[in-house]
Amino acid sequence: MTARMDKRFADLAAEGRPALVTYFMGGDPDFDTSLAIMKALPSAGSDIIELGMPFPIRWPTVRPFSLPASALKGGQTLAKTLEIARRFREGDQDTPIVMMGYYNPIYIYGVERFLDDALACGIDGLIVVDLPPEMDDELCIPALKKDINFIRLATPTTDDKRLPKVLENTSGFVYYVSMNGITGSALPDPTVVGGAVQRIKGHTKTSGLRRLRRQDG
Amino acid sequence: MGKTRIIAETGAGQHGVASATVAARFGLPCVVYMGATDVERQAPNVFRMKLLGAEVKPVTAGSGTLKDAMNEALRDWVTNVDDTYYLIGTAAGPHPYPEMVHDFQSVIGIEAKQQMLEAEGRLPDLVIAAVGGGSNAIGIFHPFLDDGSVKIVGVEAGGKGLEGDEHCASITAGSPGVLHGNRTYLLQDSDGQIKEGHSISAGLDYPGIGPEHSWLADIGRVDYVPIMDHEALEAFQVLTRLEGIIPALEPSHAIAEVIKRAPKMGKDEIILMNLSGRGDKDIFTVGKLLGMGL
Ligand SMILES: Cc1ncc(COP(=O)(O)O)c(C=O)c1O
Repeated sequence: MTARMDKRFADLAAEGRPALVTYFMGGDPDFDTSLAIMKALPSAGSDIIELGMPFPIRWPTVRPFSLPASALKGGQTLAKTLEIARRFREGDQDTPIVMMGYYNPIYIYGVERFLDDALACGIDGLIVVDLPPEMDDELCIPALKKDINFIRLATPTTDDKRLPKVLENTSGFVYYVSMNGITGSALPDPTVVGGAVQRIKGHTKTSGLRRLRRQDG
Repeated sequence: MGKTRIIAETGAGQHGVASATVAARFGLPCVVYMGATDVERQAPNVFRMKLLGAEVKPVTAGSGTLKDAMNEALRDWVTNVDDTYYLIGTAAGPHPYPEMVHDFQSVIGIEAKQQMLEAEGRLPDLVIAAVGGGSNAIGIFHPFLDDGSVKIVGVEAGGKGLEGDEHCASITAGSPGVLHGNRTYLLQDSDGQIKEGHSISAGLDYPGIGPEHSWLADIGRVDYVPIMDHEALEAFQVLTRLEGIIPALEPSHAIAEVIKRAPKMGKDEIILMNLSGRGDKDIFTVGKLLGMGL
């Protein structure tokens, strides 16, 4: 639901503070513990929660400290990850949830079915790291049409020529991978990141969702 | 391109040796990612790479095979993309790699076709190759794809049989999915999680296949068939005894398929098979399997 995220950002802007977005891997180390972790996040200061969907391919951007293998060993499936969100939502209507992971489990689950179930479980956005903008018809556009944000990654190698394409259909927020490589493996230089954020802000005047709505009339 | 460092992934070590050779020629540092299982079963190639000056990094994640090596190489690449070129060793992975590898490997098919026309004055009736990620196969298939009279067969690793999980027959026994930046046939469970797979040969031990092969299977231009570990092992010995050529375990799968098909074909029909590598790298593994300590 995009409204929940819009409201969260509007409220934070009114308070004059940035959002703290936190990530954890669904099902790691087991279902109950990760549900407890998720429930504890808002009172610990998390404004937006990223819920990791386990996939054993530790490929470009997923953090080394999230352990898909341990989640998968515990029998975590995409359906169970959605269930974690649903159970969380029963007690929290305000904290936006963004599911983050790789495309294949969603593709196998079925895109339409996944989006319907995600919406029903109170999901507000998706980060799917192996779907570039060239593949927007796969999941990004269907998600936007169902009112789920599609959040895209930009990296230090996403130059000014590529950025407009990357941001074209994105919504919610932009995920800036502030260093080349696996996030969390080293600390980036904040001054360099600051410059990059300014550069990206120069490209984010209108979100993809707003543009899509405008096109739909 | 201004890149000063080369990285590669390798299964059997053939591509690792090739990458190490190129890097040595141009004086560039070279890091080769190789699954720990493969480092062990392809020791001679590990030694070759090291002799050539490359650093071989064993990957212990997953089953320690080609998929895991590719994961690590991709991680290195995104971290060091400023100065590093990633030389992918098979016709899989993200665009434009499958296309580039296809173009470069086509040299095999172009030369084979030319030589066939010179030697026999006509096209072969059957072209056959083993398929891991699919580079040697796409290379030899490509110049024959538009020749309707040429039957084309790709041989997948049937491992210990298609019933369980111990095989790498992505097309014969897998289903479409998305891995390593391409949509192709994969070995996966009902939740879209990738299976490890198994093959006697490191080079075929990959739970996916290059996307062009998936397409060629879907349009019916190429038939993909499985050959089991034990059949490949048998073919390895047959070729050695009959021709004095020790083949690699990967093309031994293609040889086994040729042995099955040849008796059913006419005496004048021609089979063109890609013997994609020699078996020196495999003698220790095969020796162990045959109960002969080396
Ligand atoms: C000799 C040989 N043939 C075939 C293969 C399979 O790879 P591809 O399917 O990319 O040709 C390998 C891979 O290592 C190999 O070493």
